[in-house]
Amino acid sequence: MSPHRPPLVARVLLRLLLPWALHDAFAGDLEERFHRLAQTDPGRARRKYWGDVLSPTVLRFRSEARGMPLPPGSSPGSARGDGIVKSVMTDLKFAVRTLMKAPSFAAVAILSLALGIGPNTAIFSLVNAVMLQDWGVDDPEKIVDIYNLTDRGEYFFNGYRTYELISEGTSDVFESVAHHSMYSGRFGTGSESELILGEMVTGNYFEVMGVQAAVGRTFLPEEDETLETHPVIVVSDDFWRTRHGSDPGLIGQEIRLNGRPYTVVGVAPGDFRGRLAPGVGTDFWVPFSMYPHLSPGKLNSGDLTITGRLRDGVAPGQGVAAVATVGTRYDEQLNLENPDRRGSFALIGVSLADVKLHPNFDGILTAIAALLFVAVGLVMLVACVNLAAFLLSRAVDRRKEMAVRVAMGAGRGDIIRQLLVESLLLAGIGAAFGLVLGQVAMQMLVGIELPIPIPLELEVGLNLRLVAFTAATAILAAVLFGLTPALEATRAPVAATLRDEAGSTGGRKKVGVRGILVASQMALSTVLIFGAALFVRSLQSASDMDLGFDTRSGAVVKVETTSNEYTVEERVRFIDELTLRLEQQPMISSFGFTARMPLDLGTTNMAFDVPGVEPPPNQNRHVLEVAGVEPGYFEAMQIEVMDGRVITSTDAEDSERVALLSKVAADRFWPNESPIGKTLLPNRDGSDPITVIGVVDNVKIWSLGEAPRPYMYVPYRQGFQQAAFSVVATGNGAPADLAGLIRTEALAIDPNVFLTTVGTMEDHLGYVLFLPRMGAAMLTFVGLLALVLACIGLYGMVSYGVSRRTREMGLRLALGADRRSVIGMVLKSGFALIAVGGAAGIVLSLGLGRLIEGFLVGVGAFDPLALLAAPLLLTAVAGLATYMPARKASRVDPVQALRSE
Amino acid sequence: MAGPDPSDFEQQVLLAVWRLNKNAYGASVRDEIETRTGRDVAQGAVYVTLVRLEKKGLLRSNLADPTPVRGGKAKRFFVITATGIDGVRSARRTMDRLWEGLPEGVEG
Repeated sequence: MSPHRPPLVARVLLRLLLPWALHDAFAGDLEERFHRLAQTDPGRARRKYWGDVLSPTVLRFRSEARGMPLPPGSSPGSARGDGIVKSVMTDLKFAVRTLMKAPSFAAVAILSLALGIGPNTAIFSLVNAVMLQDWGVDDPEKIVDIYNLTDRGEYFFNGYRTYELISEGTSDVFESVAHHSMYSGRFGTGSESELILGEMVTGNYFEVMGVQAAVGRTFLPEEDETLETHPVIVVSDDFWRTRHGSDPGLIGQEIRLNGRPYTVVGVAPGDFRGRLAPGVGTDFWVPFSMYPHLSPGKLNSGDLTITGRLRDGVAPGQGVAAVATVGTRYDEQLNLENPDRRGSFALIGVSLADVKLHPNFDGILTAIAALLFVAVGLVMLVACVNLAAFLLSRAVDRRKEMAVRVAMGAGRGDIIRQLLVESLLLAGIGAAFGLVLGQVAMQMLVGIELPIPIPLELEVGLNLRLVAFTAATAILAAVLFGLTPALEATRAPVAATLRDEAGSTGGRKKVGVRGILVASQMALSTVLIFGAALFVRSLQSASDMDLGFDTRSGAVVKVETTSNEYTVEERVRFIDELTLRLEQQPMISSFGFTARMPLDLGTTNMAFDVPGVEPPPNQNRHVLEVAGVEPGYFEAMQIEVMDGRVITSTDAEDSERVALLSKVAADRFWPNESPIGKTLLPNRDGSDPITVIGVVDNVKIWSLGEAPRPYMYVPYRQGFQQAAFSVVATGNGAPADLAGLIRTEALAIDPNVFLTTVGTMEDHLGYVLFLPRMGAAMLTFVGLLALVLACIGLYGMVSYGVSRRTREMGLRLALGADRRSVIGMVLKSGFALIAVGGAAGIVLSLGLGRLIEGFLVGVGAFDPLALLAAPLLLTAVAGLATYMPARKASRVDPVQALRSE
Repeated sequence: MAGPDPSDFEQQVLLAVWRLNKNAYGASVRDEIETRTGRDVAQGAVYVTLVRLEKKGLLRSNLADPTPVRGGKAKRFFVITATGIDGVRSARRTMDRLWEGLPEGVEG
């Protein structure tokens, strides 16, 4: 006989479909053929088996079996031949009655399931909102986004030159090519103003996306042809509804954007929220030709996303290939123009149908989503195991009922079906509660204010997809936790059970199965707690990390002057005036301006030559990130000066150009000597050299996890007068008060100046700590939930064991055992499970730790504290869950106990 | 026999059971039909037909002891009854009458 067996699921299905009386003979026929085929081709055997099980003729068995003369040995009742729907309805009614008779069991079961399913629906709705949303465009498979492919394989934005190249070079594959870039604009005036996220787009943008205005119109071609002549704007449906009460009269009206009136020409349809990211709604679109007003440096900013719409009949692959060719051709041209050129240029096209959020982030987001799903999936597994254990002991208690039903003619299939209907009912109710719970959790999660200046609008409400997911989870749970006990329940010999012969020994055996279940729960909980502990440790190390600057006492105020249309001179004048005012404040002891705060978004680079130092491979020149700062900055930030001097007021616009380097930057250029007095040459002809005047400590620039980054500081007024800058200040006062003071002084200079942030250094760091915090909070919640569920399981099992052994306990006590030894006996059984489960959990954790290592900051996957914390917490909580029934057992009254059976 | 003649597939099943003579059960009947007609048939169709024919009294069945090759499941053996034999014969006669006078092997 072949070692293969027919597929389990098919066998179970067959049992459910066939009348009991016919099952064995028919299943035997199929199995016989299966084994014959499996000897030569197991795959074919399985396929044939499935084919026979799924054949429609199988459904005719019940009607054919009606009125059939039954051979001896088969039970008469189940061949009654009523339709499967009718019998399921009967089962359902019966299940409702049964559960109503055991309300506390039903309540615990439903609660357990709700707690298990809730987190799953919450995470699903989050993932759904972030990753599974439509872009709201027409034919996404005809849309190709074009990125600049960097040496490191990242998808980067493009410059305007690339847009021209693509438009010229791909007209055979693309009907039309647009570009668009993120732009946050200031709406309203004075202190009423508000920063809103939008996009600057070409005139054909809506045409390329295949989006038509819901009200009014989109842009006309001429509105993007001449610079600054058409201040027009299209707003989102959401903007129109929430800010203008869906007033159709808005079309043709003017709204103020960055201080100038723009005429509203249309409202976009509700399902189109721009191309930034699904879930991150943009609220307005303005023609790119308005950039001289909105963002004067736009043409050179290199932050464009280029998008083409494929011509009819052109496959996405052809579009992608055409894009790559344009890139290669341009690269070759650059090589011809400059034979000494290092580095390369490449373009890459991506079909929008393949993009979830952004090609750079889809990978990491998928990983985060997977991690979250694994965590909540484990919680559900723990909940399911709980239910399986409950149902198992219930099945033991109900064995007599089952035996009676079998004796009355019910088939095994009927009983299994009945029990499955019961668990489906439980799962259904549990899932409904879980859905509600998940929604509540999600609303709370989304309600958390993000530490970024732009509001995210995630659509986490109920939707069909979410309900379908929950239903699928519930069915899975029902089958998971319902099938084992159902199969178990029908295995007992009928006559013996009725005669009460399958007494306590059978019960002991079931406790054994439950023991395995409970131990596995302990293992799963250990894994989750371990994961949570790692994230908590990671958060702790992130918060304690030395960032290279003071993270506690400072105030941070960010100023944005584009919308005031300040000239460069006006920016400097504003800073000078604010400097004078702040110097007179006794509360403020040090302050400074910078064009970029550490750990902010955005960057400015500077390219230069260093006499005697070769540029890195693949680059023609040295490139460093740079921030323009004003005197006092390093003192206010408490960044340590390691060599030389800092920038002072003598480093003015027209004096010698100077710079400070971070420690790693200095070491990179001059590893063995002091860099003070060395020169950097920003211009190829050697004019305007920059002298290095000092070295400062390394500071975290982009993220907490980064290696020390080479960085450069130059005087703000020596050519780095960016429109947005920040003031940092320390002094004798609460940081928030200092910030308030700066705000008052700034508004006193110009009441119309736009302060995008008025807060503390801790607020500023909230952004970088946000993800570690969320990770730690969510995993801790999930881990504790699993632990609670597992302990409910453990408690249930131990007390069940105790209740079955009441007689034995009574006897022991009557024979002189002291209460402590009874407690010890019960504790021992509980702790054996905890120990086995905990040990297995640690082994699993060691394997799984590697998978989340990439999410951790400053802690390894084998963090000893986390490894210690998980089993300790488990032992403490689970120990309590064991102790309670143990104490109850020791209080058994021997006389009562002996009389009880 | 009373009632209408058995259908084509019923005849095939009856004949297979008759041929197999005491060794007729679901799987063997299916094999017999498949080898003789060269066509695949579903086990469900065979079995439903066996049960229906038993109900009509054309077949009789009894359950044998379980065998390991079938996962410990018992075989249900079928034998043809006198009524069953009458049934297939009657069906054949009906066909013969319809064939009478028609040339063999010529396209109509």
